[in-house]
Amino acid sequence: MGGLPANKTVYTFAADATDPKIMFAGLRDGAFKSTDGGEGWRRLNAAPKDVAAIAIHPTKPEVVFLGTAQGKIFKSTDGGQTWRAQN
Amino acid sequence: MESIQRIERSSHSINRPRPPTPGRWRRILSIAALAVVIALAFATLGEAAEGAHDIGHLHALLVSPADGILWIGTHNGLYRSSDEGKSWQPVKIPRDLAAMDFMGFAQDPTSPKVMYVGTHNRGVLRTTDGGETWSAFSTGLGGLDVHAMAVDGYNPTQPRRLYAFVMDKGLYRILGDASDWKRVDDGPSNPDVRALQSVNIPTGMGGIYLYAATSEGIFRSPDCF
Repeated sequence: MGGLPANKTVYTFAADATDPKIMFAGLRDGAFKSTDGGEGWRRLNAAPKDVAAIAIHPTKPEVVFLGTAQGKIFKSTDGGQTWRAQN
Repeated sequence: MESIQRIERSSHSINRPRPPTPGRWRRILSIAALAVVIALAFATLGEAAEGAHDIGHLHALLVSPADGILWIGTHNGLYRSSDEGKSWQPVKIPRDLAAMDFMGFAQDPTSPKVMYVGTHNRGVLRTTDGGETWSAFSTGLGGLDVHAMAVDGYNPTQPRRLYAFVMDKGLYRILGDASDWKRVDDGPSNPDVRALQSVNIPTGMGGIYLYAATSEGIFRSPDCF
């Protein structure tokens, strides 16, 4: 499994309240997801770059929102595999 | 006691492993060095938003569990959206608390109308009515440059733990219904903390972990401060 880019700023971090080993991290390089509590990470290829903030819906964890540094909001309804621009 | 050890390895000399992080905080990742640095990504840092309802440079995002309202903290202010981010309404902040940058949110897990936001130059603001009114909540903080916040309400038998990371000052905490912040830790050795979150993964010592996103990756610490 791949990992996060080394020594890069991680601007945002979010863990699933219902399954805390599922985590997201946002960097300028893009968004990454871990399913093992942060041991390994994989890039979410469909996610935008310049990720500034990520939030997992507290009761519907397959729903994830992502904000870019430029103020664009994206929504995923499949745990980060696909993203749709909201604005 | 730390189950996840620092596992950074790199073939690039510029990314050779750093000395272990002192204290309780441990780097938990950053395995692969990228072959290409995406300089263009950095070129956009600090720019104001265009075509995004002028919400500006974005720092923080929160989904409220009760009503699905999205909240964002930006360089230009605090906004909320009731249509999943398609449109945004500015949130009124008292003039004496107006802050240029809203950096991070925390929401009470049992009372979602109680929210906190850390700001770049006005400390912590709190609302107890779902964002209609806000007031200062910074008593005891060592500084007003709050870069990240987190809340732990996972264990109903323990008082809620509210955290704020103050730049150059360290990690502060409020237990339960107290109103004074207490400094509890230095935080990660890299002080440029961008986000905090309590994660309900048992440490084996009766607590859970506090994760921190920083300019050198992600760190975590047992929350036995």
